Amino acid sequence: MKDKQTLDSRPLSPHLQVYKPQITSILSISHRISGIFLSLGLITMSLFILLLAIGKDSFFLWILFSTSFLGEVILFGWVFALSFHMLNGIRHLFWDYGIGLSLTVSKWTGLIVCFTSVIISIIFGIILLELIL
Amino acid sequence: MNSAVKHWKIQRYSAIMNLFIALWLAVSLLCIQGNSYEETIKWLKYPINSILISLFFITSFLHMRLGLQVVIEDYVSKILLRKRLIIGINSLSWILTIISIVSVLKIVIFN
Repeated sequence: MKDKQTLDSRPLSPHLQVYKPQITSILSISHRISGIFLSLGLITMSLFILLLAIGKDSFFLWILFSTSFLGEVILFGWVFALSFHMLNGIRHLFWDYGIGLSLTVSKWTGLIVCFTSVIISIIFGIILLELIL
Repeated sequence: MNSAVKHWKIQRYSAIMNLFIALWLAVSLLCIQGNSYEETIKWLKYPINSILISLFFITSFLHMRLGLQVVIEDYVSKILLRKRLIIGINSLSWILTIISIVSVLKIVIFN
């Protein structure tokens, strides 16, 4: 399978296993993983609105999902992924303007992103639990 | 404009829009979480909510499509498979955008 017809000659992303994990590289791949996970959330959101449009009976499926334990865990996962992806995305936008690219600053902003996204998710989670109980 | 430059710019513009819209949606969904069918319909029929959620679907699916394309280009080395995956994701995201907006319109007009 390794002929030039089927394989691209452009370099692919570095193999993750080769490098020693660092906060910068871990956050970089986490940004992608959270993005992929959030894609599923977005598809679920469009399903939510479709079920709502079809009618009351189909919307019951959504209520079943979102009030089940598994549903709550998945929803909480999306809250965490969204807060992380958003905060890290702000970091990326600053980088695009050339701000905060130095090693020390990007390490610190990376740590801030981690802690803030965890705190935001916990606050969201507590409110969610309060609403259920 | 070069298509790569266009890709890069649209990815950033949609990111900035999503910063506001997705935050609004996350907080709104938290507020209406567990609501009944009638209450959810009532929420969606407020013009501000129906407009923002439609915008959310447009900018988010755009952002998702561009982001997943970069991931595929980085990790899928077989050209044919890569092309098929990108076409698949592009089609899926456009179809879902249209379905979502039609759903919002249906609720606003008929419910």
